Amino acid sequence: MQLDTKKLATATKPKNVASALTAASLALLGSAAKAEGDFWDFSKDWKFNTGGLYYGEQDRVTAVEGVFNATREASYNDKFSFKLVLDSLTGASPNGAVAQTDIQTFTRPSGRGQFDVAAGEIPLDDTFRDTRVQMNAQWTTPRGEDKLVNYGLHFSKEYDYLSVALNGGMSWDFYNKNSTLSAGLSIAMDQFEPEGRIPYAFAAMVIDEGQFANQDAYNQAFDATRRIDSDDKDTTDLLLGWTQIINRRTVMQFNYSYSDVSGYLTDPFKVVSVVDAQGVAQEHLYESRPDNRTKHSFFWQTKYHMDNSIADLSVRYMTDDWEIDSVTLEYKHHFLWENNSYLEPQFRWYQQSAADFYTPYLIEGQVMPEFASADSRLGEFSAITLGLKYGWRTQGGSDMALRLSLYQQTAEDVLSSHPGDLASLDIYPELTAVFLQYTYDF
Amino acid sequence: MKNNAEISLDKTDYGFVGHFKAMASPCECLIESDEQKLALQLTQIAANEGWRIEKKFSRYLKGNPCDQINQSNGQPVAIDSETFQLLSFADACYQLSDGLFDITSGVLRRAWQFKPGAKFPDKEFIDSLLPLIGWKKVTFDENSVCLPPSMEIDFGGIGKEYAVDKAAQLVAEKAPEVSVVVNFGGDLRVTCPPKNKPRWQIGVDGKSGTTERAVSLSVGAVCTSGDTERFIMHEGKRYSHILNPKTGWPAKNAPKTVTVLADQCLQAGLLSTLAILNEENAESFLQEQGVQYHCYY
Amino acid sequence: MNRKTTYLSLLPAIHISSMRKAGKCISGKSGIRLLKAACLAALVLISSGCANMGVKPWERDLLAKSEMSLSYPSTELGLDDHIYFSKEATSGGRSFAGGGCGCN
Repeated sequence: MQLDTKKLATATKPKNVASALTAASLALLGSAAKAEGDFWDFSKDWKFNTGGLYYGEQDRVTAVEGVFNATREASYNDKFSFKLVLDSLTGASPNGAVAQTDIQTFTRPSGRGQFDVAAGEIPLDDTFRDTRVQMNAQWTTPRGEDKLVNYGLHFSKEYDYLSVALNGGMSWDFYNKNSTLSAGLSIAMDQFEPEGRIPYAFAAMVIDEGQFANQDAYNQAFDATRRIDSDDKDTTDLLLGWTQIINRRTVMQFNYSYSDVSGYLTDPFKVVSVVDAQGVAQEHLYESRPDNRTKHSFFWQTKYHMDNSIADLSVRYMTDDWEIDSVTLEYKHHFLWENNSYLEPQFRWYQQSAADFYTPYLIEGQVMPEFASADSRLGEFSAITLGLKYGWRTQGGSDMALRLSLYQQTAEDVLSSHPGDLASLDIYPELTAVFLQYTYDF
Repeated sequence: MKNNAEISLDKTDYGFVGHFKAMASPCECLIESDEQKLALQLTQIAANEGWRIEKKFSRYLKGNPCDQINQSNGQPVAIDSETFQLLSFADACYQLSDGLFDITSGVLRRAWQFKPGAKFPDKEFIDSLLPLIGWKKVTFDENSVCLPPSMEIDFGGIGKEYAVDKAAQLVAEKAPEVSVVVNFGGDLRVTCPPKNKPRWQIGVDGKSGTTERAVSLSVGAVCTSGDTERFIMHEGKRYSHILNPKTGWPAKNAPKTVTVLADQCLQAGLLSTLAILNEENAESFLQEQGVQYHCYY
Repeated sequence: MNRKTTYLSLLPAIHISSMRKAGKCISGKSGIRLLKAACLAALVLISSGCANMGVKPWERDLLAKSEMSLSYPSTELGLDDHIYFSKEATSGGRSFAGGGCGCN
């Protein structure tokens, strides 16, 4: 039952007891256990959340993602939820190499074929084409009056990547369910088998510029840079959360999460250019990252229900042993309109410092660092997202929403000066993306 | 009168009407369906729920949760989730009404009897009962309730309304498409709008069979407080049988009956009771609530 | 480093070595301030007794709305997590950071 928010706003005054009584009697009657129905009878007790997303970067990656989620709220609060995600990615993304004043040639990650990059352009590898399937199952079940236990399975498969995860958690309600403490553990095992196999750390990219006598000689040189095995990574996440109802209008949450990732954390498609004193690239080395990363993050969120709108503010701080610190601030304001529609402006600001081994390029003759990556995602940058969402309820009681967002990343220079020609070239790729999202809940 | 665990069914022009007795009242289910088997099932569901709640919360029955609390002599009593919910609702009503609705006010029945010719009680006797009233002296949480010695709780003011809402809920779950009026002695709820006519016409007189004073509604609840027969006259004033827990005295100069229409029976019941306790201001109180109502003087 | 306050020392597991770079990176400084504020707020909240906060069951009319759920709207939050996971060095916080896909 949708209640008139204006009426409710005055409900705390003893004068108008009618609407407060409605809430009180709903609290009493709503606790009735639902009739046990047929589990697979989708006509009742099942809720569906679906969505589609188009993500497009200017001249670069385009992604399309579809989500289908089915949740069954059975009797006694048992909750089952199944999720299917399909996404497809095409387009070019920076391979880590620096721009040059001359045309450059790179070998594709598969080792078969090359691509050219025009003078002054940041090198983009345009071979990315991937389709991913993700499936999740989650089961939440009560233990007594004030405890909930949940278990989950996660499976994600791409052409060259497989991820399987298990999670479990528990939550305890205190103080008449006004406070909830939750703890969860997730263990993920990812396996990576990239096209063209995994390159050795800091192996130089083999580029066929006519120096090979025949195809076999090239193949032999290329294979020498490649490992024969696949590699994997294990992720352990711990999440501790406290949710607190402050008053009739305000709910707040604090989360602390710890994440430990170990194994192959390098991006096998990315290189770091080695430049000479004039800024001219001599070779491109496959990047290398540490095989462990430990992260701590702190997350705080508050939702506040005003008379005709809801303010939603969240802040996240993350710090890790790669020396990346990041702050995320997100604000959404949900304006409730008459006839069950709403408008929601969204704002997000993100800033991160660079990983200690991040460098846009290496300089010939200097001491080789233990690790190095020119992946701009590990660099120092800030990002802003501006979005606008409009949602409405159909006559049949389904919820639909359309959202348009603009995402812009702006890199900070981590070096004080650049040698030779590099001083006049773009070192850091800028990123501007648009996302268009449609969601349908029924 | 029928046996307490018996139901009967009659054919009507709109479908069937099921009869049974619960909570010392004649109860009925008006069912807009020609399927006799379904009608019988629905009546049985409503009756079972009415009997279940009566057995559990009637203050006249020994050994039930209500009796355990009243016999606790100041000791904490373990309660189940439904009892907790009901106490929470009573607590909400107490707070929202600023103490005018109080489930510990039942002790006043020792002083007041609303039978024709009953004698008017002494003020001293009533005053001696007042310290035994006061919901704020009761402490409770999800697991237990603690009632001070000699005090009593009585779910009478909300129990029947709760039973109607619960019974209507169960009936609606069984037959979501069928319009059913669940009527427990004049407090009633319609599960969904009828199909063959725009509205149900329902007599709210309290006496079954008369539609002299009728309300019409398609869905929602109707409750009536006050009684045309249960009252006491004293020094020319008409005293209602609804007692004010703060003074120990009945509401006077209030309408004889107040009928309120609302979404749920619990809400309608409370508002009609509070209207009478507002005495001559009953109508202005109801106007503030923005609900449909009928007052009879 | 010595400006670390007692709030931080109450959370022994927190790794703060990376805050050395505070001078270089704006987010480091504001991060420390934020962290302090968050820890302080958390401690104040928990110590002052959450028992005194909150609402009665019948006052949940607003909180019971789906929009007030912290995981609402779930589809959108999931899609956003995936976008930012693939474009930034931070993930999770609201829920598990996870591994899950090869996009980063």
